[in-house]
Amino acid sequence: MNDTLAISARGLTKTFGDQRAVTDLSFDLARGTVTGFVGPNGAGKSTTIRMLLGLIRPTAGTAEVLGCAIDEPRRYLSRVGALVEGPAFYPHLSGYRNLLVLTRLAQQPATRIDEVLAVAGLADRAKDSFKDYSLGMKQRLGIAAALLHDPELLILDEPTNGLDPAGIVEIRTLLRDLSERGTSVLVSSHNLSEIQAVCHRIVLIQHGRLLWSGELDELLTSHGATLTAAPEHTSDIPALATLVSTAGYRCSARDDHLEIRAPGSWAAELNRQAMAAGITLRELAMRDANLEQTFLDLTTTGAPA
Amino acid sequence: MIAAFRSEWVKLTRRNFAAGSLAALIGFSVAITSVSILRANDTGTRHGPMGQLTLTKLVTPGGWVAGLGAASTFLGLVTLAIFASNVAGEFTTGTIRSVLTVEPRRLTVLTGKTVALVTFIAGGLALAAAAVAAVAFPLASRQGIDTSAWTTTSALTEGLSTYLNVLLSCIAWGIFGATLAMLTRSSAIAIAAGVGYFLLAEQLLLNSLWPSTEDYLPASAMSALAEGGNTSISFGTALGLVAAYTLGAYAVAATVFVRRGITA
Repeated sequence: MNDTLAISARGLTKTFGDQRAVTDLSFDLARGTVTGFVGPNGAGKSTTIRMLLGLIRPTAGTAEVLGCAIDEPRRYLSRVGALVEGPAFYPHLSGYRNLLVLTRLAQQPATRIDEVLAVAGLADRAKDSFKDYSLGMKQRLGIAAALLHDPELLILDEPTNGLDPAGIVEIRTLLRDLSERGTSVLVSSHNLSEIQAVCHRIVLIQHGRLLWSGELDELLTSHGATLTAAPEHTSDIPALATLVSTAGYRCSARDDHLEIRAPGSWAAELNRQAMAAGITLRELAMRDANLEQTFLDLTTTGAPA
Repeated sequence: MIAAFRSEWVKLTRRNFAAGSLAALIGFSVAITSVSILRANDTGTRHGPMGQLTLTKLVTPGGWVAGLGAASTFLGLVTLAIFASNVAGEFTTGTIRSVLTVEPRRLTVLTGKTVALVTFIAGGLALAAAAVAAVAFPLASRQGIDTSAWTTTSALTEGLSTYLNVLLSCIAWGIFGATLAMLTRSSAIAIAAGVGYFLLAEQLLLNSLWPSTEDYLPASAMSALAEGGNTSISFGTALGLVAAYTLGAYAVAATVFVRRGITA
């Protein structure tokens, strides 16, 4: 058991009949961090989350959540808040009474309901039926339910689905606040710009297998950063490309410049080498790393472009 | 278990649900009591799934609440539908995953839910019994049935006995409904399967294919229990059979619930 980890998965595998949903998945989630759990549709994200929450049993492999094995979910679920595959509530009950069902089950004081409804921005709609809520309001109620028992670990599956831009910013702020208070968060989302905005770390899976896991900055630097170098004379582009290749980086020629997959820190060295080779650069810029492009590169080729 | 019980009651006290369920329990009880008293005769006749009421039975101290026993099959079907829709609804709405991420002990959840539903039905049947009494007195007077025994001290004991027998029978119906819902995870299929078996398949077995099974099959045993025993099955045998069937069904429901993954 490692006290610094909120989640530690080792070789998690889940099969449904002949179909493998998750295969030999291992990753860690450090306490107090916000980790993005990303992958294409059908990658196995929800299946993994269900295993971590004790809703389904893994076919093979093990995992620990808050230091407890996942085959004993009652030891840790009282410290975990979760929103799994969208908000699921009793349609004819009000938002308040839906949360009352859960607080009674968790033996929490009902006073907590008003607090989380206020955090979720639903205080004035608490008495309305869940079925009359908009998609965004349903999502907010799901997040409110996940916060009911002030969890140490929050597992959110697509929490910004259906939210308007203001709502997305609120959730982003909420996740940052929770992280600053020491809450660990695993957030799965298709909104990669959101993941990039709030997450420290990334777990990227495809076809049920781990594709990449680690610091978000590291991923973007190693796989996503692009330098743009434009020589004064376009005839120098092939020579510049040779310099780049010799240094071990990939590049592609555009009309009058090269796009180079290299960290920004290499820009100064490139400039020096170009000058030494008699090439004058009229432009040398670093394009911000983009998780979306990196995600597409990784999921379409399995390796950085 | 108490937490799961209290949690379940939040849903059961939803106005429309409670009103609809109670209306069904009371409505069937009153309607069948009325028909039974108005059509009662010396020999007693069975009208489909309705129990038989004879004039001899109506003049006994328990006659005032005999309509409840006559309605037991319909009350059982209502109970089956309530249990089935409650359990299957957790899967169709996906709320079961919210419930189990708060309380992962599935047997505790199932037991709390079942006990809450049983108490709800117990309350509903008590109201139904009161309604049955309210219509039985004027109808019996109109039919010229002697009701002097209905106001004796033993009338209360007999009434309580009938109520408990019907309640036990309804609990069995409900557990069957919950089990079917747990197996199918669909209210409609569970209710259709329950009604199909208890009203059609078992009647077919009894009347055409295998008449000797009347002494053993679930619907027959539950009817006999609700009636306090009948000519085919004694009260003790009915109680034993229904207890065995109910425990068996509950064991199946619990095993399926504990072992199957929650993919809803």
